[in-house]
Amino acid sequence: MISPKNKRGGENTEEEYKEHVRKRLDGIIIILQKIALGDFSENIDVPEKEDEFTRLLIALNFMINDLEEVKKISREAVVMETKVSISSEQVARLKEINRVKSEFVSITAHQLRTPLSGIKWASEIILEKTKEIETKKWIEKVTELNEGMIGIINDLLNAARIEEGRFGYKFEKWVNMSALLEKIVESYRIEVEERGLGLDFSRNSLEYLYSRVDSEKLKIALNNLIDNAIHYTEKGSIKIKLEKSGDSVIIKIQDTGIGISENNFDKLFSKFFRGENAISFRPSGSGIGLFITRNIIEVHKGKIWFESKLNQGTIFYIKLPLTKVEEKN
Amino acid sequence: MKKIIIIEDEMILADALKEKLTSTGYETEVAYDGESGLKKIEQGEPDLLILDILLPGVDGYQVLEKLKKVKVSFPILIVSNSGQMVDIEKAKELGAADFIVKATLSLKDIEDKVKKLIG
Repeated sequence: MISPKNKRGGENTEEEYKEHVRKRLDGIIIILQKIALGDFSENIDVPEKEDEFTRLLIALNFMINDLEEVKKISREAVVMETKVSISSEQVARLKEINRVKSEFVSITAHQLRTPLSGIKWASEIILEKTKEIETKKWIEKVTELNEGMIGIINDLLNAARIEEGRFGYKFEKWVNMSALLEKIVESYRIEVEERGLGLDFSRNSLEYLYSRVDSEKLKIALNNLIDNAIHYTEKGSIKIKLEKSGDSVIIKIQDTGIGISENNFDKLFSKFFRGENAISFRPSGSGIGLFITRNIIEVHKGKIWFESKLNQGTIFYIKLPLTKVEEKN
Repeated sequence: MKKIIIIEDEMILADALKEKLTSTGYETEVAYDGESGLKKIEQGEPDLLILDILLPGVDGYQVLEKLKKVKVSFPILIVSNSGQMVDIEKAKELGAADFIVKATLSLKDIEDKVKKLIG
């Protein structure tokens, strides 16, 4: 029970006590009104003398301080929110710039396809018609350079499509991996033999291995890796292996080429990156192939990694999930 | 002799195709735009139509639409700049038999495709 003492130290009369309570309550009401208005700027003066009211005032002061803190934080949050919205505007702008850039690349690359196709086909006709060995040689050179340009254009187009999210995947659930891989490898037979390299395809399992893949896209990914293996290998052989490993299939592409410097391991899959030794060994190349390859493999819920030693060779590994047999029905 | 009509506005491409297919033993006619291509078809249906998509005036899709309406029986092989799935699907929906992306196939590859389609 409240039992305030009067200044004289004795018990208050009931009248005095009522007056005391009324004063305290008036103060509290004013404070509560301020709080209701969101004004937490001032603490309440707490009389030295402790009673139930002063304890209430102390509690109110704590509350005011807390509310002031909340107000500050929320004010900062509003400021931060504005900041975030500015930076999300910037993000939107950057995205727009990137979109315009991708579109520009797409349009340019598309436009280049017609003349490059013209050079390709016209060269083919000249090669068929001419009997002059000298002319043939020159036209073969033109064809080779033209193919290089077509390759770069296709890489640029694919990278732009990947970035715009319109690469247009079309998955099939039951793709025979061995058949797919063998077909791809065999398409390189002539080129590899012309370069005096070996080409070997093997598998560690006679089982049918099926994966859910987009064959066209996976072919782009594997072509990039095999192209690299061939382009950066002067002598030796390219070995391609298909292995079953648990619920997955692993494709190994091994070469005896120039290898990758350890300094470049973490940059290898970045767009436009090419190792110094790769550039000096083969000046032409877009540096986009591995970026595209990794993207394709990731969309297939697969993994890609490599091992490499300078001047000894490189092995690329692709791991893809196998389609589960129980899914067949 | 089997007859092929080529509708392709890029002269060097049209002429290279004509040269290749003529030397393989086909009778070939070239139109450099959609409208004159359609006229050529009216005058005498080919055994195969090779059609570009981006054409001045009446484009390849419009050519396909018109031919679909009159229900032509010959196969149509699209030669286009785009390798986009949407374009390929659109062309196939409109009745194209096959789709070739420019700069990716050689004339020899195209000859093989033509042989597969009409022998």
